[in-house]
Amino acid sequence: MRLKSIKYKIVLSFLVASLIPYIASIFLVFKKGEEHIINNIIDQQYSQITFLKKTILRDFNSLHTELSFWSENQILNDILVDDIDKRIQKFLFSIKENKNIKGILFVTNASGMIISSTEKSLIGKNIPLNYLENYFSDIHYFEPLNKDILKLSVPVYSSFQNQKIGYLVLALYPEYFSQYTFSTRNSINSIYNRKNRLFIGSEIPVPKDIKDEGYFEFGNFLTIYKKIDDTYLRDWYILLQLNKESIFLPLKSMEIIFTVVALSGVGIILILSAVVASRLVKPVRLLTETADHISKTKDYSIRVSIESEDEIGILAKAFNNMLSEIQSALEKIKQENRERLRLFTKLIEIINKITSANSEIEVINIVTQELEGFLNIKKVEFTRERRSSGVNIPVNTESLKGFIHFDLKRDITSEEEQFLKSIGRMINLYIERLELLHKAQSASRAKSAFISNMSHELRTPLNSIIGFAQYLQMAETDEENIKAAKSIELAGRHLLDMINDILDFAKIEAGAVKVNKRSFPVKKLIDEISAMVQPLIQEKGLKLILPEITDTVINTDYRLLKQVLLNLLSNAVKFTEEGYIKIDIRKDNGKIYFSVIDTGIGISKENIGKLFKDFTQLENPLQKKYKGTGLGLAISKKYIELLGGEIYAYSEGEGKGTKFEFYIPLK
Amino acid sequence: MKKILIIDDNQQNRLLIKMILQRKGYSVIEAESGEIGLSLAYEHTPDLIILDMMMPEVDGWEVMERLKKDAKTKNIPIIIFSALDDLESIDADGFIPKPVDINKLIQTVSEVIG
Repeated sequence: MRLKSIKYKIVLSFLVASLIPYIASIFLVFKKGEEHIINNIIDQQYSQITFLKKTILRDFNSLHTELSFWSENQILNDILVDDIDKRIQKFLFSIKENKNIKGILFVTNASGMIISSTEKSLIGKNIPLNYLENYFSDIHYFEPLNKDILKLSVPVYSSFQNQKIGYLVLALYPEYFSQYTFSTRNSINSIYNRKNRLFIGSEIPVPKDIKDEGYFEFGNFLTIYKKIDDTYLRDWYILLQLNKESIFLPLKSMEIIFTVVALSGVGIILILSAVVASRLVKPVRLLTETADHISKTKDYSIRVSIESEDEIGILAKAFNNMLSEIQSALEKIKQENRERLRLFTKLIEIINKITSANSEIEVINIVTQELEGFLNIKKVEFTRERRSSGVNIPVNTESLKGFIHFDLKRDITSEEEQFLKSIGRMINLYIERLELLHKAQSASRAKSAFISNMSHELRTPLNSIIGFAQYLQMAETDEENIKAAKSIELAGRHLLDMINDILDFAKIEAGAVKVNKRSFPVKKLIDEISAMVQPLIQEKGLKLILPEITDTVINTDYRLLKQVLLNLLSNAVKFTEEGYIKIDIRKDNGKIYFSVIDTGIGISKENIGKLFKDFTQLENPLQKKYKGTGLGLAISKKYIELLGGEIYAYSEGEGKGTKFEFYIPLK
Repeated sequence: MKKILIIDDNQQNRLLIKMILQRKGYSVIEAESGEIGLSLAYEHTPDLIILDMMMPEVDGWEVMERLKKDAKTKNIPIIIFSALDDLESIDADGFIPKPVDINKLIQTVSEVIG
């Protein structure tokens, strides 16, 4: 059971509710019961004490009466006769023994002298007459006996002359009262003389302000007392001390029974309340668990099945209703999201179509066709004039002027208007962009056409010059003329090379170089190139070292690659006076590496970086010293880049030869 | 004597080739445009046609196409004579790049028609 749960609270409140009457009963029953019992006991004991008091007084009176009776005995006439006291003595002893008197009996003559006694030491002693005439003396110190005694005395008269002849005296020891005392396990009593603080029986603690009767409690004891108030006994009390435990013993056992019964009651209440609480809490817990489960799984189709008609049942119904509401609300949101996503996807499609449109009017067509049915748009048209109804989005570009007219099913919201305006901005922007693109394309086409044309126009007359110079070399017989024709041819070829370079470079700059890939064996390319450069190499007395021919096939632009290799080789020939020129090929990781190595003049380290710079950067170190445009390497670099590769130059320094290396992808 | 037809809009080119080939013992006829070239080819059925590709109006490609269509001319061998970079893609019997190399011209012609 969770500590803070309702079940716990219910059980706790039941527990408290059942404990309150129990505690109250204990208080009432036991406290009141105690009082009641004490009162009862006191009443009961009072009557006992009173009875005891009466007994004591009656006995005392009868003792006195008996004393008077004994004083009339003939034997006491012997008081007047000397030496007959032995008979009196015998008489006194017989009384004492018969009556079991705790005290002394003695007889005096008329003058007060003790003539006979049960205590022999008293004989001959004189007792004042006034003491003897007083028939009763409460407890007092009696000097001849050196003891506290109670005294009863009666005069003795002679049987003939009725003359007082002496006194019969009974000196009672206080122990006399011990016959009225007793002691049991649970109670003791005592006869108490206040004046002398004398206890006959057990000594019981007594408060100073003791009244005629009453009770007091001391520690675990209850003491009930009553004064014996009589002509004889004036300051005597009867005390009765009771052990409280014994008084309350029946109450104690009752207490135990009561506690057992009450605790069983509490236990039963606890069990019952736990059962009731469980029944009460179970549906609540079911609700909680369902709510937890739903919040974890997000499955709002779950329902709680509690059929009871009570508040819990109502709560469960409300809970189920709430779940239904949430479920349908979620469903609605999902639906709306799907619809929104559909619109969004559609919009992206429209934008895609617009951005892939090739002409300005195509953009307008896409907008008018695709936006129909979008949102609350009924019809979309492109019009020259602004219309009075619907929404008119102006289109105002160089090639197109007019309005995109949106015919709407209902009034437009400000967000929708904003949306249409954004579309409008996009249309304008895109049409403008298309116009710019078309302008650029036509400009580029014009430039390419011009370059191509120029290339043809420039080379045609030059080709004739070279051709006729060749013809003259063939047809002429005069050596001087042949030399002249040869010079014309060489100059023409040089000029042609330079024109070709410039035109190639211009084509690169115009973006007019197209890469046309096709597959071919490397061997074919190497054969063609070596055939082309062989005459030049032989002419200079150099050696051409070719790579080991493999059957490697590459897929690239044949013409561009050939041109690069020719450029590198013609450079090598140009700058090498003796030694060899070597072509190397190796394959690595999907790339093919071409190297052109020579034993020529080499390049200083600082100049290597400037090699591939084009003529716009001047400072080409080769250009100054050697004839040519100096564009060959710049063009080669551009071509290699177009083919997806890179080119590098290496040299150990001036006079130590040069190595050019480039790679391109095999495919 | 083998008869060779040269179709080229450039007069200098025609002259140069004619001079070289006549010197080597060939009979040469000239056409200054594609259209004229076609009619001369039909009329004379030469042993070889040397054809420039870049010509105004009827260009080299059209000339080739129309020659191949006619039963009378479709078997005449053709040597392409052009400054074009990529001659390999053209279905012809021989190629002579511009600027002309005399030795290459003579070699190619003799290879094609003997």
